[in-house]
Amino acid sequence: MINIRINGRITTAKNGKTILQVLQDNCIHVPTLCFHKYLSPLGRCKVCIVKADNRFVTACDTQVKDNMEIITESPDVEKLRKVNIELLLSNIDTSKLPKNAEVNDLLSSFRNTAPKNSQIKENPFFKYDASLCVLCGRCVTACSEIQWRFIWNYASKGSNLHLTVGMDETFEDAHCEFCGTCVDFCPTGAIADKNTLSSVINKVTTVCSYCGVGCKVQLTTDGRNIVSGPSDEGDKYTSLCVKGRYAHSYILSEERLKKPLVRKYLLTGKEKNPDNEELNTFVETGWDEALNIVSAKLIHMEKSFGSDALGFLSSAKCTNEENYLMQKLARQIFKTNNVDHCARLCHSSTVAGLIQAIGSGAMTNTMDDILENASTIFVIGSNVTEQHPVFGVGIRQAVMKKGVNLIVADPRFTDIAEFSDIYLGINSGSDIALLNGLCRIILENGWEDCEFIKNRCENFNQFKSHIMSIDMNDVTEKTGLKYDELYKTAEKIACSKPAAVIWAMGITQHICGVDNVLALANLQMLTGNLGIKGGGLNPLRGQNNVQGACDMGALPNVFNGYQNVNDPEKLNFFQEKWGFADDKPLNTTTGLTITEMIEKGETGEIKSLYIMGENPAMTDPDVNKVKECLEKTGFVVLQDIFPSETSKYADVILPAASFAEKEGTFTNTERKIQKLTPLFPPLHQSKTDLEILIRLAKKLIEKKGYLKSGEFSGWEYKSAKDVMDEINKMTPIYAGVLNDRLEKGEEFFWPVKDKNDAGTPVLHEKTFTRGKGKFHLVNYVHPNELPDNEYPFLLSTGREIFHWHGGELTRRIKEIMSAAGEAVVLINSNDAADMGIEDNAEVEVSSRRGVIIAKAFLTDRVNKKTIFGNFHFIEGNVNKLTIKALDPEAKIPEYKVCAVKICPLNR
Amino acid sequence: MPVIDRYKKTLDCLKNPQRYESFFAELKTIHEKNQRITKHELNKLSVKHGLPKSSAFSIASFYGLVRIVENTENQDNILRCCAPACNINDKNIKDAECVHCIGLCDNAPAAIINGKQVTITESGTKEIDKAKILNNKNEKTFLLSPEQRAYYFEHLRDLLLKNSDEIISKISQANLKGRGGAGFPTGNKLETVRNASGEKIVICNADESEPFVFKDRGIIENNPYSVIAGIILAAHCVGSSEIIIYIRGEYTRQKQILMEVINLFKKAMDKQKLANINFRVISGAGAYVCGEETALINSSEGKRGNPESKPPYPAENGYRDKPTLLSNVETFAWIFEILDKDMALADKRIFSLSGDVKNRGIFEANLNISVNGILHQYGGSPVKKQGFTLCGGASGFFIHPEDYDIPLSKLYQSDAGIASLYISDDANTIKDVMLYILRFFADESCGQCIPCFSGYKRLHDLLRDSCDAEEALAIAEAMSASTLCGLGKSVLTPLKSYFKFIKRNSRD
Repeated sequence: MINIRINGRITTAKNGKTILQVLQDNCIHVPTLCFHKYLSPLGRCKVCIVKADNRFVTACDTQVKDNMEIITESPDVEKLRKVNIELLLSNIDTSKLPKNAEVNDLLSSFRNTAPKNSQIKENPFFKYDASLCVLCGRCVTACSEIQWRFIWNYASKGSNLHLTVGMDETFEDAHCEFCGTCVDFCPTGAIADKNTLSSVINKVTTVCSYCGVGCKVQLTTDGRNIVSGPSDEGDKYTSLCVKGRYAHSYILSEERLKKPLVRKYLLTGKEKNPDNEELNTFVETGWDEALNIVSAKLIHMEKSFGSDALGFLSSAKCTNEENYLMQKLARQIFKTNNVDHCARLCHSSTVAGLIQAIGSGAMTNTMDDILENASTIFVIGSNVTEQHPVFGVGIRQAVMKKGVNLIVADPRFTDIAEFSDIYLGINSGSDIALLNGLCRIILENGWEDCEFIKNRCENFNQFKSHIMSIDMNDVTEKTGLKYDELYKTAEKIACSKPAAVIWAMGITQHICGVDNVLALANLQMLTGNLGIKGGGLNPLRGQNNVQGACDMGALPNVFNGYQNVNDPEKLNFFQEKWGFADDKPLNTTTGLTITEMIEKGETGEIKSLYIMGENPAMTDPDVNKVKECLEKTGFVVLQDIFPSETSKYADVILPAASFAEKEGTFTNTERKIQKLTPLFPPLHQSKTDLEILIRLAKKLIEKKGYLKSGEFSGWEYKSAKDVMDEINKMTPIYAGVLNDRLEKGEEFFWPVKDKNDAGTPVLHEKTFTRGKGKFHLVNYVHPNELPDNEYPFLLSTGREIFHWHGGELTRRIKEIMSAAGEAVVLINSNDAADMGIEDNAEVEVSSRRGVIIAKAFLTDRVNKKTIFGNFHFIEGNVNKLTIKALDPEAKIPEYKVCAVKICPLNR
Repeated sequence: MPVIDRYKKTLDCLKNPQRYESFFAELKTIHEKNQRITKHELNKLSVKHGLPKSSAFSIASFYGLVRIVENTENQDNILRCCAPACNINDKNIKDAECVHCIGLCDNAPAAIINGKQVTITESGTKEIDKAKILNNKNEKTFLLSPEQRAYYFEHLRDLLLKNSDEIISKISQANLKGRGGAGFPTGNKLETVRNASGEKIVICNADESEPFVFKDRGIIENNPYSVIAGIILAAHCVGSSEIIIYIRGEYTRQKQILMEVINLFKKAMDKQKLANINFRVISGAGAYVCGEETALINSSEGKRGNPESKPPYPAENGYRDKPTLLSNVETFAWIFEILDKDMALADKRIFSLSGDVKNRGIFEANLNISVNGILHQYGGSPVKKQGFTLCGGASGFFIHPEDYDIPLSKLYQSDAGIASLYISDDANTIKDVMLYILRFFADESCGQCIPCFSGYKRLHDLLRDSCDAEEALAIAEAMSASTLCGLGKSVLTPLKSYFKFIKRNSRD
C-alpha cells in the first residue's frame, strides 16, 4: 500500500493500480470514454485527464506512485477536459446518437458540429455509421485482444484516420465471424445491431442451446422479436458466437409446428398406405387425440411384435430431465433398451474408448482449467473455433496472451491452425499411426512419466514392446508428416506439461474411432498428463446437452449415470424404484443403436420409431438409404419444433417447445450442469418435450393397467424440478445436483456425490474411475473407402460456424442465410485449376451412394485430391454421399472419409 | 461463404514481431518497383508474412507514400509539393497528387515523379540540384568544407583507436546537443547506450520531414562522409555493430548517395575494423511523425509509426527492445567533426534557407547571427523591413521584421529547435502559412491521441474562419497537455508567435 493525496485528501492505494482505479475505489468520478473495464487502457480520448504531481496525465493508463498528489477538479483540469470532450465529439452528428449510448454522459458541455465522415458499412447483423464514430478505438481493441480476430483496425492517419474493416472491404471479405463483440463495446452506437426491440416485455439469462460449450445467453423479447446478447453476470466479458448472438429468432418463426399432426389413416382406422395421398395427408388434432393414437399404436406394436420391435431416439438438444424420462419410458413402460441418441454419431467411440482405458467417457478437465493451466494444448481433429467458437476464443487468448504451445493436427488447415506453433497436416484417417509414432519418440527419448505409469497404469510392458516394434518410416509414410514435426510435437506434449488433448469428430468418426481414442489415452497416460490441472483427455461434445443425454442413460447399454443394464445389482435398484405392481422385469439385454434401429426398420425388425428432436434423414450417413428405411418403418412418431426432412416420414408429429420455453438443465461438454430459465411459456399449442412424455406415459400406464408400486413408478411429476429430484436419487453422479442449489445459481461439474459436494472439475485425480489406467495395443487401419480411379477425391465432412447441424434452426434465420446461404465445398485451388472449376461455380459431387450440387470454394486449406463439405442444406447435403461404414464396437459411422468424384457444372 | 480465409496463413507476426519488418520491407520493394501496391498484392503479403489483413492495411495506409490501389492499372505516380515554399501556380505538371513539403524548398517548385526528385521548369521538369553551400569560400567552416574522401577514411581509422571514454568526454566538453530538434546532450546519450548491456543498435535519423527544412538533405548531398564516419565512430563508442540509417522516403537520391558512400567506406576501410559492422538503410514511406524517435523505431520494425510514451527511452529499450543510440544526421556529422578537428565548442549549426531570397541553400553558422545578418551574408539579399520569417520549420516560430536585427540566440526559447529560415516578403501570406502548418500537423498526426488530430482540424477551421486567439490557445494548450508525443505539443510555439505577430501588425 502507498499513500496518495486526492484533491487534498490523504488516502492509501494499492501499488500497481492506475489512477482511474484508485479514483473509482474512492468513489471519485472522472469522465471516461475510450476506457472500458474489460479492455486494456487505450489512452486515446484524453477525457479522463487529471493532474498528478503537477503533470497532466490520463488517469486510465497512469499508475499511482507513492506520495502522488492527484487533482481531479481544478479550473485548469476542467478546462482541458472540456476541450478534449469537444474535440472528441467534434466529428460526429450528436443528434443521431441513440438514447442509451454511453457517450451521452459527456454531452452536457458540448456544442454540435457537422460530421465529416458519413460512411456506412454494414453486414446482415450490425452496421457501422461513421458519423457517430469518435474513433475511440474500443472496437479495434476488443476485436483484437478479446476475439483475436483483427477485423477492425485504424487506417491512414491524422485527419484522414478512419476505421477499416479488413482491407477496407466488406465484413464478409474481411472474414468477420459476426460475434457482435464490437457492438457491445461501442460507446456511441456507431456500431449497432440491426435487429432491435421496440420495448422489453421479458428478459432472462439462460443457457444457449447451440453447442456443447453452453454459454450463458441473455434473451430479450418484445413479443414480436427476440434478441440475444452476452450475459451481464460475472466480472469479465463473455463472448458469444454468431449463433448465440444472432440466431435465436427461429423461436418466433411462423414455420413452427403449432398443433399435433396425425396422418389421416390413423384417424379413420385404415391401414398405412403411403401411396394413398388422401389417407396419407396430415390432419391437425388436439393433444388428447394425438396422444391416444400414439399410445394405442405403441401398445399394439409391442403386443404384436414384442418390446424390442420398438425403438426410441432421444435428443441431445433436450434437457437432462427430458432425456431421463425418454429412457425411462422405453425401459420402464416398454421393457426395451432400444434407446439411443445422436451421441452415437459423434462421440460413441470416445465413450467406448475412454471407458476401456480410464473408466469414464467424459472430458476429464474443464475448459477454464485447460485455458488457465495448460502449457501445451494439442488439438486433434477438432475445428474448435468454428464448432465450439467461444472455447476457440479462449484457446486463442491462451495462445496469444499466455504463450501456451498450440499443436493442431488436422488434414484441413482449420482456422485454429492459424494460431498454432506446430501444424500437423496429417492424411485423413492416419491418427493411430501418428499417435503411436509420438509414443515411440517419447519412449525412445525417455520422456515418459515413469512414476505415473508405475503407480497409475497397467499393461505398460506389452504396450511398450508393441510401440517399439513400430517402424517410424511407416509412420511418416502413412501420416504424410516429417519426422522432425513429430519429434517436436512429442517433445512438447511430454516435456511442456501439463498438456491437454482436445478432440472432436476428426478422431471419432472413423471405423477405427474407438482405437483412435485408445491411442490418445495411451499418449496421455504415457506422459502423465492425466488427473492433473491443465491436462487430460478432452473430447469436445457437439450438442448443447449431448453430455447430459448420455448421463441420463439415453444409450442402449446403460441406465442414467452409466449404470449398466446387465448389472444385476443396478437392475434390482431400478426394478425396485421404477417397477409397477405385478410387472415384468426390466430388460437386461443391451438395446440397438440409432444406426441399427433405422436400418432394422427396413428389415421389419423395428416396427415403430419414437423420435424426440432428431433429424436422421439429414444427419445420418447415406441419407438416401435412411429415407428408404424410415419409409418402411411401420409407425414413426416425431416430437420436434419444425417440420424437417424426417417429419416427411412421420405418422404423428407432436409440436414441441424450444429451449427458450423450457425449464430444466443442460450439461455441457465439460460436465457442467446449468439451469435453464424460460423466456415465455410454450408458444402456439406446442408443449415441452417433458410434458409430452409425461402425458404420454400416463396414458400408457392407464391403457396398460399398470399400478404403482416402486417409489418412482407413477410419473407423478408437476415440473422439471420433480424430475430432477428423482434424478438425484437414481443417479450417483448427479446426487448433489439439487434444485435448491441450482436455484441459487450454483453450477457443478459432475460427479456431485451429495448435497455438500462442490463437484469435480478434474477427474481421475487420485485414481482412475476404472482403478488403473489401461494401455491398449492399437494399430493403424486404413479408412473403409479410399479414393480410386473412378472416385478420385477424398471427401471429409463437417460444419461451418454459421450453421447448426441439419440446419433446421439456422436455415430459418434470414441474417444467417444472407451470410451463408448455400452449400459450399472446399476444393484445393490447384485441383480446381486442373479441372477448370472457378471459384463460386456450381459443381456436382457424387459418390457410390448419391449426388449433390454445391458451390466451389477454392482454397489452399485442403490438400490436393481432398474436398470438404457440410450437411446444413438439403440439396447440398454431403450425407447423401457419406458411407455407413461403422466402427465395429461403437457403431459410429466414418463420416470423415469416403471417395467421391467432382465435375464442374457449366450452367 | 466460409468464415475462413481461402489462403493458408498463420498469424506468425503476433508471436514473431520481426515478421512486420520483413512484411514492410517487401511492401516497400514492390512499391518502389511499381509505384503502387494492389490490395491483392497486399493481401498476399499479409499471408506470406503472417499478418492479419487489417494490420497489413493499417500499416500500409499509414504511410503517405504508399499508394494502395484496387487494380494493376499502371499510372505515373506524381507528387507535387503544395507547401508554401513551392506552391506556385504551374501548369507544367498534370495528374499530380498534392503533397506536403518534400524537403526541396531550394529547388522549388518541386515534385517527385515515380520516385525521382525534380524541379518543375517552364519546359517540364529537371533533376534537382544538390543544396547549395552559401558560406563564403574564405569563411572557416567544418562540416561544409568537405575534404577529399580519402581524408575521411584515414582520419576515421585513427579516431577508432580512441576509447569510448575519450570520445564521450570530448563530445560532452564540446557540449554537442542533438540537432534533430530536441536538443538533448549527445554525450549523455552516448554514455547511457555505452553503459547498457547486451547487443546495441545505432540509428541515424535521416527522416527530415519538417516543412521548410532541408539541412540534413544538404549535409548528405554535400558531405556524406562526415555523416557516415560519425555514425561509425559513435557505433564504436557505444560498442555496437548494427547500424541503421532511417531515411525519409522522399529522399531517394540522398539514399543512393548514402549507400554509395557506405560501400566506399566498407571497401576503403581496414577490413578488420569494419568487417563486423552491419549497415542497413531503411526508407521511410511518408510520415512526418516518424521523425520522433519512438515512432521511427516502430516504423523501422515495420509497424505503424506510432510514437510511444517515454520512458523507456530508446537508449534503454529501442529497436527490437535493444539499447539504441538514435541521433540525427547532423549530430553524427558533428561527432566526427568535433573529434577530428578537435573542436572545443560545438556551437555551429547547419541552416537551411529558403523563400524570398536570392540564394537558397544551406550554410554553417552559429546562433549569434540575426535574420538580416543571414540575408546579407548568405541570402545575397538586401536587409528587409517587411514580410515575416518562419524559423525552425512548421513547429518553429515567426519572426517579425522589427526583430530582424536581433541575434537568433535571443529569439530561441530553448536549446530545442532546428536552424532553418523561410523568408517571406509578404506579411499577408502569414495566415496561409499558419493554416498550412495546422493542416500539415492535422494530416501528419499518427491518430493515437484524439485531441491531437481532432484539435489540429479544429484549429485550422477556427483560424480559417475567424481569429479567436483565446479559444485557439485554449485548444492548443489542451492538446499540448494531453497528447503523448511532441506532435500534439508542436502547435503552441508557432501559434503563440503567430498571434503575437498579428497583434504587432494590427497595432501599426
